[in-house]
Amino acid sequence: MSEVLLELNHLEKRFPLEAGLFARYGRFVYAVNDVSIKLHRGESYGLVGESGCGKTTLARLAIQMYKQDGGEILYHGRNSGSLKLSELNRKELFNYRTKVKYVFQDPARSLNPRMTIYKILTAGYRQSPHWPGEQNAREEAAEMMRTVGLNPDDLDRRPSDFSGGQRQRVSIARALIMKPELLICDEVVSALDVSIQSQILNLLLELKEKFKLTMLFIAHDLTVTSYLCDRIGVMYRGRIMEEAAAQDLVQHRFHPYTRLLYDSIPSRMNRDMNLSGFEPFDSTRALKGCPFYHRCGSRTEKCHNRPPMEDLKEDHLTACYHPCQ
Amino acid sequence: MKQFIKALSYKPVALISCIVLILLYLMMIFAEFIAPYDPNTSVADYSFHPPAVSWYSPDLGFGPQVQERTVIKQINWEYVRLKGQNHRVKFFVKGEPYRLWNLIPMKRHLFGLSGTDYPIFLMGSDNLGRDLFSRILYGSRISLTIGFIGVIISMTLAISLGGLAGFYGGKVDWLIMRFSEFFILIPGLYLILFLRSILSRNMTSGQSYMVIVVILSFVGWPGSARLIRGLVHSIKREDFISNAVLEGIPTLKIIFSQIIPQMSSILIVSIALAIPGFIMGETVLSYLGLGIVDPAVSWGSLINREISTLSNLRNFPWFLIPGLFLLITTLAFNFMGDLLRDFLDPWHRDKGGLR
Amino acid sequence: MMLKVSNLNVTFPLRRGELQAVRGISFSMKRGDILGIVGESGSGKSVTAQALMRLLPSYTLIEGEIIFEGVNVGQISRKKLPAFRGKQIAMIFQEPGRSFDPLYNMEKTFKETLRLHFPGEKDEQLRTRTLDLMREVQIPQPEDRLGNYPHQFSGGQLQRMMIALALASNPRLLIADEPSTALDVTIQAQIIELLLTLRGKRGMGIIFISHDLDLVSRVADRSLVMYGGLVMEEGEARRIYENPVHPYSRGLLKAMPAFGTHYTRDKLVTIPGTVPNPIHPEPGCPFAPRCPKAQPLCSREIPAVYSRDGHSSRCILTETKGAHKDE
Repeated sequence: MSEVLLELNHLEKRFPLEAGLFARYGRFVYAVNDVSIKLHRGESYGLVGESGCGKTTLARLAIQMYKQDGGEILYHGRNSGSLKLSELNRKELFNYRTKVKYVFQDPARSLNPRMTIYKILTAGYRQSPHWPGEQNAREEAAEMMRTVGLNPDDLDRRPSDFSGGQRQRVSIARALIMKPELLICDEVVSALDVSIQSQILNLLLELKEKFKLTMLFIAHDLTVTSYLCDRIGVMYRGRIMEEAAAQDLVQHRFHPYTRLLYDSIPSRMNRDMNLSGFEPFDSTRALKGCPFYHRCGSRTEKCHNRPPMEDLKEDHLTACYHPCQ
Repeated sequence: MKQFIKALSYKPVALISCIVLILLYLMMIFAEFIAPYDPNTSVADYSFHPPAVSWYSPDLGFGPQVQERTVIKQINWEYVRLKGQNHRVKFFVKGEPYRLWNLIPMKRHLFGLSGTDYPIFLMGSDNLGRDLFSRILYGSRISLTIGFIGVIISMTLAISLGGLAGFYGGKVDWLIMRFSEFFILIPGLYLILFLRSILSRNMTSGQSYMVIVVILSFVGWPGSARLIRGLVHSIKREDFISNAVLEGIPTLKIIFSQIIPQMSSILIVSIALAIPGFIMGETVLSYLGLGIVDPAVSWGSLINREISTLSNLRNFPWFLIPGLFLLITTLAFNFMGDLLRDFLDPWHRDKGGLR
Repeated sequence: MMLKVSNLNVTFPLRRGELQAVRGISFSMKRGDILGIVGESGSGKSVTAQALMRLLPSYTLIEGEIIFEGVNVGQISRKKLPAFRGKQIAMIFQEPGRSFDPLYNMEKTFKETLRLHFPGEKDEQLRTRTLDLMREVQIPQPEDRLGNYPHQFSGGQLQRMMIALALASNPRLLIADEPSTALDVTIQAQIIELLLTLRGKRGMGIIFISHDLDLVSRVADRSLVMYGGLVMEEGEARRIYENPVHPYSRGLLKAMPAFGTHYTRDKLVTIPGTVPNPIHPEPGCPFAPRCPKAQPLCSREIPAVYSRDGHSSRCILTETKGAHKDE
């Protein structure tokens, strides 16, 4: 396999709960529990999971919007050499963030409604030492508009003049204008209409090819992720449950949770599904055993200990003592 | 702008307020020209002269005119009209020389009497025989501008401190908020009185003007700062702000070029609603003798002097006119503020859009 | 027929212009059926549901006729509306959290609703009814949850409670407006399962509204595909999914990846363009600007409905090429 671009090693993140008058201090929401993934250059990695599973937190750790409570993030950029993110100073972090870009879920909220598209595209660029001056930047912005399928004459309009899909194109253009190496897409299609989603998916594929991007694609939808990504990690309660090549995961699902996700896809839904346990999990307790224990049909005593990630097949990791066959 | 005019036409009260305010400010700007006298010109022997312009007399028929009067009782300054001594009010007459805006020397006034020495008192005169109308016009130079300058100062304070508190949160927030609570907890009037009394009382009118503005601003900022802090606090959670942070845009730039513009509509409204507060504040100070003093005039100082005793009010009711100006102005600002709120608030606007 | 809607038009007069949310739709529904309504944002699917419930604000212009169990819904007097809404038709929404009063616990919430429908019953009886309803929607240990407040329930459980509340009056029709969109996929499957079970047990009709054609085809017996305030295709749900006739339904199905496809092998066929503006709709078929098979006639007038074997489509191609020649 090709070289590693981004390495997340044993990441931990917990958020302190706001303490009320009678509440105890020192309670936490455990969002990410010991997650390790490697992103290879040029691949698209999909993180799938339900709301609250920690996938967004993980992505925001990768861009250092939050600081991790444990673990380490290593970045092996083309020109920058290996960086340890926790040791970067302000300027180095700025440079890192020009190489790694984050696209938010809802373009209606991630674009400043009072700025023109040109200003939005260049706001970050202006801060960079590579700022080419107003004239050239305008040309670059126009070129980028064309690349994402928008009319460059619209540079002076505002986000409210655009539809949801077009706005998402703008936020992708904004992320790409400084030629990043890694693009983190956080549920970029889930706020869009069905007929628009495919346009954005195709655009992402096109851009990935054109700019030789590596992608971290976060979604709750197993179908979309398995279509778009090369490798997939399935997350639950802040842990990776199963990790495999997308094409492999389509055929073999070893973890009971992945099974459940798969069975819940509308086109797979059958009328005698296993409705076991809809007990909500309490993420304020530190995780001891298998996170899926409460909902799992094949749990045993053994599952009170955290199952390790094991290769059940080549390049197919599963964290389960009782994998499905 | 077109939409704004349309919105005005839906609300006649706001339209009238708008016109009234425009008129008041025009009168303020051209005070020297419109006022027949300098505020400190006193016409001897004509103290406590009642408003004297009438519209009809058998001698001259219809039209603005002044009938001469003379004092019959010096004790309570009772005047009687003199028969046959009528003068037409003329426009653009030559009168006291003055400099418009302290620059252009001119002699003509908007209106006055010609061919007689008898004074024209549109709204009566005060104890020294000074024209009340002229004094109101000159007084508006202080009363009508103090609101704007005060709002600018207090809003600058409120935006910077509230913005910082809201954006950084944590300790900065705690410090700034406790600081502002300190100002809120002390009753405003006492703070004003205290601040004013420790400052020297022998100040020129310009100095006392500035002192009043600054004092009022210091009392006024905490409320707005808390409002702004709350807004910043919620806006900073928007994704586009996270995005700006990720793009490495400096914090102050984010606050001022991305967060503050988001709440411009709320700011405009709160500014419009804060102006009357400043006008009233100045009035209160001057009424208590702690604000504008002679020779400068403001509406507050006019109210102070004239209506201090009940007998004065009974005998010379025109001394209430400065209060009327004050009332109209504050009401007009409030109506304008309400209109702006309805106009800029998208939720209100959609409701207004229904036929 | 339990429900018959004919030529329903809903227009919102706004300052910017008239927003034509629904432009003359007709459909009917049998007792105990599940009718799916599929559409994107602005297609008019939710407005249709609100019109059925008479939930639209008073300034809305509504034309057409809605006959529910022989009663003209548009002519129910204001006084009788609450009884109609609860007893005949009940509705559940996308976000159950917003439909509950956060300061009421479940017992109180249910008591208030049940008292409307069963006046004169004692608290104890109402409590038993509440527990029965909670059991019916499969809340584990309902006795323990009775005193809980809405925030103590997870999203999926709250949606179950919402359904239970809707069932309180034993309605004949349940309108579910995107009941599972805000929920996780695994929870969504459970809610769907529950709705299907309830339909079987109580024999009530369900109108299931969703943007997901795939999901609707699993749940519904018949479905409508809406676009730009018009019904584009109507028919048996499975048939629309497996063999869509209208270019829009076809496009929708092709636009989303199927499970097992991968970008290295399969290309997504996209629908170009954007959803139309409902304020000043273009003349003609609303889908014409995006339709790969559009003809000059399409953008001139709204095509008529062509139907065959209980499957209809609003497209001129259906007429010229024969509606179901693929069968």
